[in-house]
Amino acid sequence: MQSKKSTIHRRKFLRNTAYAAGGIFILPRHVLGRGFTAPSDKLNIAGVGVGGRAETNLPKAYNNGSDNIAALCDVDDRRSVNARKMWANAPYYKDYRVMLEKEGKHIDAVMITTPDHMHAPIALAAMEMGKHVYVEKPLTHDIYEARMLTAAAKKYRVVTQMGNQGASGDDIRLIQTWLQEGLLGDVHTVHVWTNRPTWPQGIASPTGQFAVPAELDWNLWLGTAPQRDYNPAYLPAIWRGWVDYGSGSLGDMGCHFIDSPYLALQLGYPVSAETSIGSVYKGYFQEVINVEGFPPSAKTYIHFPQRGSMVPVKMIWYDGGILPERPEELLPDEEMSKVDGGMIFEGTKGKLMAGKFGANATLLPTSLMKDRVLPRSKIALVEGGTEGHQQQWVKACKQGYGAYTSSDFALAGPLTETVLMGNLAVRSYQYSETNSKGEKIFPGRKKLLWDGEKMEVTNFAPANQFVKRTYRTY
Amino acid sequence: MKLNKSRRDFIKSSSLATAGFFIVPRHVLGRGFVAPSDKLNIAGIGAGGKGESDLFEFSKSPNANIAFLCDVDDRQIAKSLSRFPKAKRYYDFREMLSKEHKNIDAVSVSTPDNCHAVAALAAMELGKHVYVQKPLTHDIYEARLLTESANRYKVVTQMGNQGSSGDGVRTMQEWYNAGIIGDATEIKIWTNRPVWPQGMGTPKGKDLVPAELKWDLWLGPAQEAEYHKEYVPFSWRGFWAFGTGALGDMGCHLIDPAFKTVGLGHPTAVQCSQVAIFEKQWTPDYFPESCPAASSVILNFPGHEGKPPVTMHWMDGGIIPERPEELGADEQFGDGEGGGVLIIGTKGKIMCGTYGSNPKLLPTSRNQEVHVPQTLARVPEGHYVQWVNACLAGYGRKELSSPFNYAGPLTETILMGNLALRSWNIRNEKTSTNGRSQFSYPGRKKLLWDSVNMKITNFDEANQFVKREYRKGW
Repeated sequence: MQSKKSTIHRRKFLRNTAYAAGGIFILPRHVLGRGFTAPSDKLNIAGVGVGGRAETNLPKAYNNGSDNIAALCDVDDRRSVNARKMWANAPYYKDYRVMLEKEGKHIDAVMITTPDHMHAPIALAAMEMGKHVYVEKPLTHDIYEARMLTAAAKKYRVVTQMGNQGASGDDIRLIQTWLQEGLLGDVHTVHVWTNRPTWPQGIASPTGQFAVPAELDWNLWLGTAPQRDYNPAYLPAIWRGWVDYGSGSLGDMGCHFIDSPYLALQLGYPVSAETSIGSVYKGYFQEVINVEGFPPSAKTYIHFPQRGSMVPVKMIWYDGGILPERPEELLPDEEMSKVDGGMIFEGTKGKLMAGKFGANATLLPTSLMKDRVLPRSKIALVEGGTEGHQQQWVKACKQGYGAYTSSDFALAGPLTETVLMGNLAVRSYQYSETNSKGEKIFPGRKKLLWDGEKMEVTNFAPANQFVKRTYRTY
Repeated sequence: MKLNKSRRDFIKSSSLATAGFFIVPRHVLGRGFVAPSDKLNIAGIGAGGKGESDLFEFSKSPNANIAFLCDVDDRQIAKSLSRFPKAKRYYDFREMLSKEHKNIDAVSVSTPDNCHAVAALAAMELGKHVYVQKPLTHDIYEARLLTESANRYKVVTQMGNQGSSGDGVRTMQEWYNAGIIGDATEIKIWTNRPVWPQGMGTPKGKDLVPAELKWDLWLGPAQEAEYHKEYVPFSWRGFWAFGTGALGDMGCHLIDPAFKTVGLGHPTAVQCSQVAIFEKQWTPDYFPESCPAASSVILNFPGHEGKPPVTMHWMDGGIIPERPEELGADEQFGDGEGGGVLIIGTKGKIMCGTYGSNPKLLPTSRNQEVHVPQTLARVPEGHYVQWVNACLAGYGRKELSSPFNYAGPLTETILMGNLALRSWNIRNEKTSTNGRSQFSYPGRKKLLWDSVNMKITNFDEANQFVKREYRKGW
């Protein structure tokens, strides 16, 4: 199973990723071909970013050899050690652009597990070649990219999946059923929280000069991000806390926690966002706001409008340790979900509490769980549940465009936009200007109004710089 | 837990008897304010920083005489000494009270929080009127004790939350009493403090005690600790051994207007959450001796006399409540940067800043429509002179803005939040399966408070924070 054609030029792609006006998506799908052959054939999968989380994603897609890992790509030889050992015959690249160009004919699908800032450029390049894509969460690093990938999935008719495996779980389907059955009445408020960041945030940017390790191609690691000297403080994993590469705890966990309410309540584009963040002081009255990093904690309100017969929803996100108020129906000694986070739905007829991926969905008060016969999920379950998320995508790739995946970009794109809307609010909150008196002011500390169709904050222009990044040419 | 019934009991319990102080009963001493002049002879305990400005404020009254100055630190007292050259100086308030009680009418206490109660009580037992900085005390038991002592010894008392003498809180009371916002159900209060580092470990190592400082006296009833320059003169606020965090610092200024307006008493339950600190990935730091960098505290007050229950939500360290819908996008919320109060009633909302400043009905257009007659007397002489005049008039003769029978319950409420924050950090090690320590946090729930018996009824370990153990000799 191979793409018939792989005509895209790297040069052309580079132009595309610079977002020249109207310059994206220039290769029509019918030129590229679908690359779809008999379903009995193995899917040839390339991995871009093959360490860390990819060490789960790739083996699950590989499924003990039921499909092929056809190519591997990582900018860091240390991170790719295990993958290269496991698939010793797969050609290995450092630059995904080279890999796509050289291996385009031999691959059908691409799994992307890089730092957040590279998700979109890689995914788009693959999609433009007609490759199916599995992209880790959050789908993209900025809102514009999420919109673009969502459109690209349709345009290129490729099978897509974001790596929020909870979307394939039984629990999210149960919550969806309960809400559809009206157990909570009209849901107007959703609280969602995570204990992350479980790494340092709100810290000063790293300093010092360091030699780039021989195994790492720093220029490629930076990719589209602004030029910056190598520093070991950024990798691996810890890039999450820095705005040029990661998307904070919202980007990390938002897709896992927000997807249940997002799906069940069909939230769509938000209309506004408002936040406040945990402050950091290095001395008496010496506040530090490092706009290069995400804060240690945040509480963010995201508002959704009326959707058909569904009432407007206020979603409140909490991270870094701050929690919502315990529902009054929850008894004083009862646990409010697990330590890593949770969610609470508030409707006109009741409340529902659940953990990550919507696990352990519980009506409140918890005594209701004993007293009532509750509906079972009416939505078809995914084989393997959350653990079957990657295989679901592999099988869908083989069936071709239109086959169901739990978190295709039509859903994952707007979900990611919502997550990134929170980050837009956080970055606007950190944004400062100096007024005519020489004082530092924070004009973005207000309720930001969002025009979802136009992708524009309408009442605070500087916020729009966070909608879309400028890519570095590299 | 019962309060000591007699002064003699207290003397025994506080070990002061062994030191030989306070053996002369109050009725033998008399009030101690006699001619040559009608001036109130004030002794200041803690004469630097806020103590310095407090004494200066008293001295603006022609009826006040700053007669004695007591401070454990020569640097802190320097300015007061030069301002009041005739005042006799002491280091140890116990010695001062013992030797000078006949020449003292009233005492102002402006030490770090951990010494408020011992100094105030010693003075009250001698029949001295007292002015005590906020928060009134360091623990709940002390607040209850001082409240009862004020009645028992019939002395004039005032806590140093000077905003309680402002016009703002009176305006709010008039609005509320006139039913303009109906019955309060929710109160949201926030401060940007701590505006100094919190949520870190106690300072490492020890420093040489400066020649100007009597460290043992500075510690007072606190447990033995090595001197570190970090603590003095200000950062003790961020450590539970000495201070009471952002809540203790600003709670009396911010909670006061709502507490008074709505007429709150003792809470019945408290819950909290706080920002986690990560200096390394995945391993949360654990600093139970330090107040948190940011927190959220929710207190429940029961309904009474047909009034609904009230939920009070306190936020500090940068996290703020959602802007009320009625507030225009560009209107200032509370103080803007510093903090604020929002009282939500069944028929409307009142907002104000710290100290009850700039009270406003929401939407702010309501302020033009609503006219409530002024029924409460203002305090043109201000908070300090009000106390001076009341002392001269004698117990029970003049109204005070923050006497202990009001300030005591207010302080207990604030310290209730701290009790929750400290209970949050109680952890038990669980059996580890993988060699790594795992912990459970049994205090992370809704704590139920029996205010009559001063006891948390569903988590006994929390009760260690109701009453401290004083250092031997105190």
